[in-house]
Amino acid sequence: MANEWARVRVSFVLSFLACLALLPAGAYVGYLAATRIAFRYEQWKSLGALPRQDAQQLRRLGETAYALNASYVVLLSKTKASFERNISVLQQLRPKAVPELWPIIDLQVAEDHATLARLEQEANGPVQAADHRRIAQDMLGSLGWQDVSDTVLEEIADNQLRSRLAKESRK
Amino acid sequence: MTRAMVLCIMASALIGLGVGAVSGRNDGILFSRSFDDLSTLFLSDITENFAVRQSRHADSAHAREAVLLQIKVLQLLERSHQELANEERLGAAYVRLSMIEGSAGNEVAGRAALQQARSYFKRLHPNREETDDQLKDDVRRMDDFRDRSGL
Repeated sequence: MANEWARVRVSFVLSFLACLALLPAGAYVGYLAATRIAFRYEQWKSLGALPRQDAQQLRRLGETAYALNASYVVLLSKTKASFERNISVLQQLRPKAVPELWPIIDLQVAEDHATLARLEQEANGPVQAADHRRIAQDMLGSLGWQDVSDTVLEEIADNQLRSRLAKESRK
Repeated sequence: MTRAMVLCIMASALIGLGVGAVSGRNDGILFSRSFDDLSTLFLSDITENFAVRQSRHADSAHAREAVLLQIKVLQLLERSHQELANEERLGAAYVRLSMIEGSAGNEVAGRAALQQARSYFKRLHPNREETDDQLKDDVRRMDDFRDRSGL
């Protein structure tokens, strides 16, 4: 009789513990599954007016734009390190991005190099500055820019260093 | 383990699943709408910025490509019924295209683009009449500011 009672008590405690564990676990699984399903469904619904191919293209463009914009967060401070970090983020983003947006990424990378050239120059790094300047000029040239002189690069650096904060506060 | 206990365990798992599913559904809808709003805003912003920069600095082939990309993206957004002041942006993009075509010597294409621009501006301001030069001046001034301020 005592053994029987002990067994009931053990199984009661075990079931109670199982309930305690399954409640949050179920909630977690349910939350993850429902979030994903609802997100996908809403996305499908919101682009429902477009033909399938256009909807897919717009979704991919939107994802790239989102990621591209997120890279600007790296540039909250206008330091050499933040521009270098942004270039690396953009270079990682490029292969994953929609090819149509590659030139936009390239322009941003070129502008970051132009700004880095200025910052290196100010930090007494003429060799690194020249390297950044050359990369910026090559990239701008490939984007069809007609004037890639040092003056233009200086203007780009001025704009980048002046506007970065305004751009971020605008968002 | 009695049947009652098994039922209790299953019930707690189901209650958890249900609570999670309800709050997950609401968050999923919210995330989707935020994602749509932000990606639409970012997309129209970055393509416009790129079109402005390219139309001011690049050769006509590259500038045309950039403006056409902006127009394509804005038209896709327009067709997907995502509300945004796209008429203004589309009108300005066509004026930009008309200036590029004009400077490349394609007068016919330039006039056609300007015609398109007018149709977009007309939706916004049905009673406003502007000459070709006024339209171009407005867009030039806007682009000038945008390009110089780096916005």
